[in-house]
Amino acid sequence: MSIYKTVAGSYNIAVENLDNNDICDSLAGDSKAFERLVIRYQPRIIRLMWRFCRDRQTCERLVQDVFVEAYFSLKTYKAKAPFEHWLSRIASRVGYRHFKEQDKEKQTLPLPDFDIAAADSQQAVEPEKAAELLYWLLAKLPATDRLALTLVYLEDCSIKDVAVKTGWSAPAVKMRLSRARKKLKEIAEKEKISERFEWIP
Amino acid sequence: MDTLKTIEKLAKAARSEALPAFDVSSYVLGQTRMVQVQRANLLPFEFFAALTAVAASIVIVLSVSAWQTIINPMTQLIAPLQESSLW
Repeated sequence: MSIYKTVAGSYNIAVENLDNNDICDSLAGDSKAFERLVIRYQPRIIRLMWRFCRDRQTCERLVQDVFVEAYFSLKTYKAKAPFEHWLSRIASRVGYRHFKEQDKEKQTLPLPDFDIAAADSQQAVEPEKAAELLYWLLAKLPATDRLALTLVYLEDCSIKDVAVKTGWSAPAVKMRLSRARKKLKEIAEKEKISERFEWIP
Repeated sequence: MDTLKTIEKLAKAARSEALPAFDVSSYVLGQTRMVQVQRANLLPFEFFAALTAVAASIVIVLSVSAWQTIINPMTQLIAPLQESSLW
């Protein structure tokens, strides 16, 4: 079965041979092939889903959801982009759904007394605590703004990357990011973030 | 200091945090197998439902045509009276 798609003969992008073979075998019913794909990509998906939740159990559930969803939509994968992009798009969708659920349940954590200074002098800021603080700030935003800023701040994505992962157009991402940043700035100013963490080099 | 710059610094630090590690492959495979089994079990029901739908539509077509040709049995009694003069 061919998983390549030629658009008007203009281009024909092949995914890596390994992925290509495993995808074909999975579609043919070989579950071991899909297991190989899961093992290959789960560290990257865990990293991405960890940005959407800071609870190990929830993260595990979200990662499972991503791969189960990927398995059942594998037929729709056209190999126009690398498999990882396709998978991270599913992951972003799952993460966004999680944000929406949180919005419904209004699960915003109270602002803890963040002491983000690292104990050792090697690092100025404790990464885990900085991530926690950022997560708390982003949780104050609506799901769409939160998704865009989570990808930009925590995954270091460019506008193009966010567009690929979310399926939004690049101008839409740009506009959403500027609005989201404005909202985030207001929230952070209210919490006096810049005054509290002025010392960060 | 600019608030957004502080946030960017926080984000830079946050990106280097330690991530959890776990394996979901066995769960994912189990889940996909379970759904496939459920789908396979549904197949006979789907077939039977389709068969029932076909049979029902045949009955409906026949009954509509029968309804159109049906006449009121009382018409047979009244019809001769309508033609005869009362006086």
